[in-house]
Amino acid sequence: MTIHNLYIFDRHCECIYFQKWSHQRPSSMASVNATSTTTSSKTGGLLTSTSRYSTSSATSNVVDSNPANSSAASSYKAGDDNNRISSMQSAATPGNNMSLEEEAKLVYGVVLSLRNFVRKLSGKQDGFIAYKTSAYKLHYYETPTGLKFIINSDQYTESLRPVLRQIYVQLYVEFVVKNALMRFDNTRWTIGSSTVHDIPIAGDDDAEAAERQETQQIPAGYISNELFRVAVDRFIRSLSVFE
Amino acid sequence: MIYSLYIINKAGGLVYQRDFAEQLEKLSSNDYLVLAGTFHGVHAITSKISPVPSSSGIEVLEAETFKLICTQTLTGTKFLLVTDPQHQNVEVLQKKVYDLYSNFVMKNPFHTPEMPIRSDQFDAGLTKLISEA
Repeated sequence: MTIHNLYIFDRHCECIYFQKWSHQRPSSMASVNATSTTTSSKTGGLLTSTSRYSTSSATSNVVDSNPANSSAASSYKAGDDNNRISSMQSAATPGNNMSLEEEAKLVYGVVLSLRNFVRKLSGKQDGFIAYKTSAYKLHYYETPTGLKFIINSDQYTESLRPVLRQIYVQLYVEFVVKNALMRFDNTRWTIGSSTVHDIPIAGDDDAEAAERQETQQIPAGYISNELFRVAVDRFIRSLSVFE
Repeated sequence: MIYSLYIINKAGGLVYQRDFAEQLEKLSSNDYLVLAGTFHGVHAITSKISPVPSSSGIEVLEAETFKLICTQTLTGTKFLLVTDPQHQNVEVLQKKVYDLYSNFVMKNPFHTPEMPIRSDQFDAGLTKLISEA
């Protein structure tokens, strides 16, 4: 039993969070992600890791017995200047050179199509639970506000919908929604070093809004909260289905 | 309990659709064609977005009110069986449906491949099969 990765999409089909768990041995990990491994061993700190997209090795907990260090080290950066989603390697099979951005769009498309497929056939709003192929199983949970939580596991795993719900209720709400630095930007939540001036004022024209978008470091809506990442990582690792 | 059967040809066109129970919504024939096309596309993408190497397309779709089992033949034809969520041993039934298909559809000299299936014997065979299941 394994858990491969987790996606969170907002209701505007934007991938606001991605995390991947690798179950390879450290030696083979090093060859695949040579740069990220070295970066993590150098910086290794909780606060220095700013990437929104991380890969973590299942064996890192074994290697590093100190619990405070291991969770930080396991969610290492994908390179100092490589924290844009488009430059990340795809979460799908190694060797397939699709960018993570493209892959996220495909995942969203599949999930949305299947959700509408199920809605049409069953006439119920919230019917789609999971799908299975010969190699993996995708679990789906949608909140009433349109946030979509997607987790990929191996095909024998039982329904992970309660797990996704727990990530939403106990982790997303606690660490993202209750974060005082989160800012509601018309349609999207965002976190960052925003000043009072940045808070949208009614009657703001579009040009100003666009300018503000450009100057922002992190695109609106993305979860760059390290505490959330660490908590999700710890929670997934504590599950019995994670090996 | 079996709710319905869909047969999708290798190009994504719906060639056969039949409901055996009333649990699912009734849709127009155009809607069924759209659903079949959607499923065909999704099936192709699901093998691409796999987190592990060499995955097949979607095989089982789980929903709250039904379960959909998809088997693809070597020639690319897809058989979709919609059952209740707890249904077991669908593989046996799938094989029997495929037997009927080969006997009464593929062996029919008047059948045009990839075109909608119109065969009374296939219909009758299915009715018998589902009532026994």
